[in-house]
Amino acid sequence: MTIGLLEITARAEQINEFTFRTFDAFASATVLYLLIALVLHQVAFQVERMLRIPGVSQNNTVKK
Amino acid sequence: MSFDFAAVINATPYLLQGLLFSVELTLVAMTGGMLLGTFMAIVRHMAVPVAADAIRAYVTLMRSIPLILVLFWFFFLVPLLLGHLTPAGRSIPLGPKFTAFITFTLFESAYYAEIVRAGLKAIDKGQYEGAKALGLSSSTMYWNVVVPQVLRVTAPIIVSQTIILFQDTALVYVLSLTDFFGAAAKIAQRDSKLVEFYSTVAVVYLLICSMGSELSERFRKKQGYRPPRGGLERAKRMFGLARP
Repeated sequence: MTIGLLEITARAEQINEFTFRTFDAFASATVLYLLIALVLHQVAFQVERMLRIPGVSQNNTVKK
Repeated sequence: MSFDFAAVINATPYLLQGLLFSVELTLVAMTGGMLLGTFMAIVRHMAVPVAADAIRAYVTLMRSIPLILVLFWFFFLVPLLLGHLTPAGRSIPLGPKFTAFITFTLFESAYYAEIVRAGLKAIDKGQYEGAKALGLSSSTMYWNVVVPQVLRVTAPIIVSQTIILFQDTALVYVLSLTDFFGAAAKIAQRDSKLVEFYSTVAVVYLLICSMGSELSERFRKKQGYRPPRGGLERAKRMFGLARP
């Protein structure tokens, strides 16, 4: 936004200014961010699973 | 182009006021976030049945949503939710300053929790086993044995995160609060002295942040950590010839 590029939050602010539906605009932006982040989390989890060393406990803790 | 220092000097009291708020917010969020984050990391590490999953969800949620939107939701939704709890059902405004402190603490705690969790995983298994073998309780084990080592290992990342937090305080503009950057931006636009004010801001940020990393390095040295000096020393350490 600082240099005039319109990313999700900036678009949400624009929609808010055009329509005054503040909660709708920002809720959609939040959901979009969440969806993208959850996809990234899933990818990272798959990478973690691929790189796991068999037989090494994940948590490093002492088994009771 | 001439550089107008007088404009910056005239605005110094206002800028300092903003800087004070930035530093205040950083210190509160860092202290609160570290305490809460360490606690959450330990709960996840111990795999406490329901709590560990709840914390995982919380961390995922907080890290998925940008700080600016978290601030927004806290500022508008928490008063409404609190209002529902009262019999009158009227919303209770918390005030922007209080909202900022709470939100920054909660938001940063998620990041600190992940840093500390990485540190807990990095500590050698023998440390946990040794503590257990000595019959230490779980709380003593974490508090006196593991966490000090974790803090030493993760100090550079914690410093980075705190520097990021300090710079993120600029986002309080959504709550119409004025931090250091906000103060400078306002005066810069009023006097149309953008170059002067933004350069001053950059220099001050640079000074404070490099001071922060310098302090942490001193602290680490005081704790007995000596950074490897020179190529030979580093190579020795790399091949395990020198004691760490």
